[in-house]
Amino acid sequence: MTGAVPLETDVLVIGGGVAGARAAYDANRAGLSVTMVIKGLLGKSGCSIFAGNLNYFAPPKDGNGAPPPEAAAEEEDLRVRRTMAFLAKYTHYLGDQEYMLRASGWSQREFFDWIESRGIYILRDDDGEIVTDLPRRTQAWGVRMGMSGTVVMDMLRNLIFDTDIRVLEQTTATRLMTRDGEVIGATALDYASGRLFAIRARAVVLATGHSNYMSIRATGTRDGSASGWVLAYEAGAKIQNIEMQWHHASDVAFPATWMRLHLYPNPLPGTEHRSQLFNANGEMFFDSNWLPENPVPYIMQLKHLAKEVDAGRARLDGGYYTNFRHVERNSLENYIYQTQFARKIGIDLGEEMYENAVTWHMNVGGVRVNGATMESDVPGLLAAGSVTALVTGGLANSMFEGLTAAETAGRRVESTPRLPELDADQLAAEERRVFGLLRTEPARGLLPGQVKKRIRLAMWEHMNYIKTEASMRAAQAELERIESEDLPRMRMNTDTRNFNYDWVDALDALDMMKALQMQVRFSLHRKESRGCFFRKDHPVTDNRRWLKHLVGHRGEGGELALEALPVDLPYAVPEEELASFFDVDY
Amino acid sequence: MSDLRIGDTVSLTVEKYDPSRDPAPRLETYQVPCTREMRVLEALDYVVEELGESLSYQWFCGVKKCGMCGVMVNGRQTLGCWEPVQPEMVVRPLAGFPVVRDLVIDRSRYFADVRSLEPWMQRKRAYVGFPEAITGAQLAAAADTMHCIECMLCVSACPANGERFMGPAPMVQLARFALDPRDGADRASTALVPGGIDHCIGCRQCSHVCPAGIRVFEGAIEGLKRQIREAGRGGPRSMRSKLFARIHDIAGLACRVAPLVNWAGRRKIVRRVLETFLGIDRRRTLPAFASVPFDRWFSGRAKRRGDAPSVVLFHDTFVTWFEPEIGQAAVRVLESAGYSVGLADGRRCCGRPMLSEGAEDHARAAAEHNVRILASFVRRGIPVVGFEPSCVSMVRDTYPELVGGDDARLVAGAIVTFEEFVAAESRAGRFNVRTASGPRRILVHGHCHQKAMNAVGPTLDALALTGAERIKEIPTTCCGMAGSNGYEAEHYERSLEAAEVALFPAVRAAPASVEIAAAGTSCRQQIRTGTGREARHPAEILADALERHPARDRFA
Repeated sequence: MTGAVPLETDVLVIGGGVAGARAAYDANRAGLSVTMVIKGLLGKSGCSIFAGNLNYFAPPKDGNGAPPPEAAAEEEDLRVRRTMAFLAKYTHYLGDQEYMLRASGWSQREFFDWIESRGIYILRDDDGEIVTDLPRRTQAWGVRMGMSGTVVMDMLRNLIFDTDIRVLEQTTATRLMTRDGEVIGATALDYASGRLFAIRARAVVLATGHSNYMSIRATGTRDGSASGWVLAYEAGAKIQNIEMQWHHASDVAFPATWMRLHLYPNPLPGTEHRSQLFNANGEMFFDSNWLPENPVPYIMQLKHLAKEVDAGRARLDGGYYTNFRHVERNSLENYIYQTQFARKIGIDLGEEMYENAVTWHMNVGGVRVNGATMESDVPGLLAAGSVTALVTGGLANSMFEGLTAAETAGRRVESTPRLPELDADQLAAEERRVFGLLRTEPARGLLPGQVKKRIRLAMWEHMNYIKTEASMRAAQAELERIESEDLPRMRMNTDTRNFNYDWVDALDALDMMKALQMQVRFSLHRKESRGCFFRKDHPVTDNRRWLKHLVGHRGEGGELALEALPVDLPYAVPEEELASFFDVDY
Repeated sequence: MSDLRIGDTVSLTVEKYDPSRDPAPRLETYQVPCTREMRVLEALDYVVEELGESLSYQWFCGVKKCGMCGVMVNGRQTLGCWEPVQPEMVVRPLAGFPVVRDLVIDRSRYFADVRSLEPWMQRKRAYVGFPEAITGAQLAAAADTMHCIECMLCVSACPANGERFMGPAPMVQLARFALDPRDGADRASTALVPGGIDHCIGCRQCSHVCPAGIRVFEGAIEGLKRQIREAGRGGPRSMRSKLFARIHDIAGLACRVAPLVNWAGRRKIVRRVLETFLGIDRRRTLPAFASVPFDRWFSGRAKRRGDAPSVVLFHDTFVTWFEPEIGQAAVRVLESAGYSVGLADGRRCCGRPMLSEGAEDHARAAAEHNVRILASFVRRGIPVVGFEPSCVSMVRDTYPELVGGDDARLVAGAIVTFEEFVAAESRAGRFNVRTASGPRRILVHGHCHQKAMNAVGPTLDALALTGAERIKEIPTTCCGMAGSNGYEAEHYERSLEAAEVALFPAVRAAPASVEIAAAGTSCRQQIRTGTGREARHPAEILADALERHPARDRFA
């Protein structure tokens, strides 16, 4: 036994993306002691740096002075309509409408002010006009389209430099500590030094993001292993709608590591043109401008792609192309980050198309929380950002959730005068589990990284964008095989505690296995197709029976208990009750 | 990309080292099948995921956002997710950082440095609300720096980075605010202390290695230096600075009494005096002044032809006063190939030494003067050829901004290095010469500015005319001299250390029959100091090896 290093804090934030960083920053400004546990490095890891757009809502034309009352009412009406349209396309009616209305109001009123006042350069032309998409002017970008998340994270990192927040980097949370049904802290492994921390906290904010690296082709970063779902689930929290797994249709096909590079179908800066998709025969099968009012046409790209794949004119792993040839040079060269990548391998996007393939991406679902407070069903555990089931992510939304979580955490800290003691047995068990993985036996075993690859391969082959009952059963069987044969054989070449990333891989493999077994169970349960979730054997969107939240928690016997709960639809209700999956635009 | 095709084998050799257990680093080699447009990072993944071998390396995003996968590939700073694999790759941790394990480096000093620069916006005037009145044009320079992903490639490649200078990346982080018109903090002072920007020696390696394409030197560092000068801080630091800045004028005087000056330069007592009063390290041999400067030699020759020149030499300070034999060799080569050679009479120092020491006005005056002289040739279609890469790069890369105007751009677009000229003429079929008895093997060390101009390739091409069997570039960054930097007593040790990374070992390992080529005068100086070997300018090597093709007369 090793002896975990004890730490105490008012607020423990797990995750270093935009939600976690804003939660930590605000809690610190409110005078609380804050500890951040970040699996990678602050501002470098996680999915926030991938956010290409600042927000999916137009920046306010003039942030100062209230508009006249009629105009204000009209603007408000427009905002509600746009918000609900966005939510439908983005979450397929499973997002939290009350929450989203608050989030969009905040981002309209405060988001742009907050980031610009702290130095974010919102892309402008040489006359000072903010560069937006034409003609609707619905979006804006930090520095360039594709760079927004990177520069926002640079800024948050630098703001946190100027605080006394304790930042534990290259440290991965391994388990939430509970007592009497409340979350009271966590254990976290610093893999650079091999130390395990036992952290006591009055409030824990889980902000581990999404876009996990769970399939052979995925947008996820190295650190993305869905550990947030597993941490929350094991602590007793509810998990919701995680079958709602997004894919991207227009990520580049090669080189393999650039699969995370997205050739956006969103409205593009400084032009009225948008991307088009071409099949193997050179025929266009999707133009984002077919859906001019849709700021996030990812789902529709996929629906059209599914038909091409069915007809043998494209494959999930390539054989179709994004076209930007009709887009003005000025946009490509000066406003869009992606152009340089194409050029690096000799493709001029102004002249040539770039081959695409399907990629595992974000998730609509996640930890079920109260959209007003970010509280989970377990006292002491809050969640913020895209690990929650509120909405499918986004920089502004995640930042809003972070600051909301900080406020709630402040109230909880106030009402929790004494730091509870950790449960010694629980801590000892976790120490045994974590250090038990640090082993060089069996000799003929597998590196944890190899096991992760096998898990990803199972997902790529059986849980890809086009699913059936049979494919999901095959995924389930392969996961069970890996669980019983490969996971127990995990071993390392060396048991050094000095930056042993194999150790992190081993923890990841266990988390991935748990998360994906849950996800397959959720997926088998939903007997329809909806938005990002496509079952070829149930190609209908069924709002009568399946406009429901699927919610899971750990049952009495430790097994997953699943139920379908009603969805609140106060502002927007889908028109159709039952429709072909390909006939609805969400 | 190299000629690798899908399925070809990449030979990947990786340095492995666990300082907590291993006595020393070791190398291990793996065979990796190449995939489509495969990047270096993917080859590392293959070792773990397919071969089942533990390997510690860092990355998060895989697509040039996190900046964590920087490594040395065959001796060069490389971002793993950005650059393609090579048929034979030796991958080591980024040079200049403590190694944590295998390819993982310790970046903590960098983060502490950046934090100390207070990298958050400190507004000149209170923010008035969105959207604020700024334009893309006003933010252009700052926006360029916002592409920085802190990958540490520039810090690793910087020969001046060390205790006194934080290195380029922290300066980019600082310039992000200094160049932003909204920020009001005194970033210039911070650049000096604690930044140490006055120790930057302008080698431009930072710009050269930056995978984000940032103008690290020209934009960020020069931008900060300009603010320092405008605020009246910095400037020439010392007598030594003034000496180096005015090397051209001083050399002109010294040549008249060359034997005396050279005798003095070799005396220990004099060198000690120089170290005490000027900070020039006593262990350095000062360059010897020629008794007959190059231009005097040139004008004293019986003219071969009365024609107008078909090529003009921009004879720099070093060739003129210290190493006229290089200029003489170039004249022999060019004339044997049928060119009528002229000199840029009346030219002055290119201005780089003055600019490096902060005397921008002096540098500009020299540059304007040279632009006038050189433009008269360029307008008549006469090529202008230089020897010293620093000087050529000054004219090509810095004159347009320093001087401005059409003539400066004209001259910048026209000047070439001697080797660029020879290689291009040879490609065009105008340089018909055949080999005599050239060296069989040549090792080439590229000067920093040569690399920054992508002008090492032409040097290899030009040297190929010698008929050498094997011409190989030594995978190096800076030789460590970085202009006059290596002469300075406080930089002497570090200067030699930089050269020990790759340059010195490669030179020492080469048998005596191998010719060492280096176009930079300070590089040759450094090689002499560290290895005792004489490196020569490519013009000298060519002159020895080439003779005129008897059947060809260009002007016949």
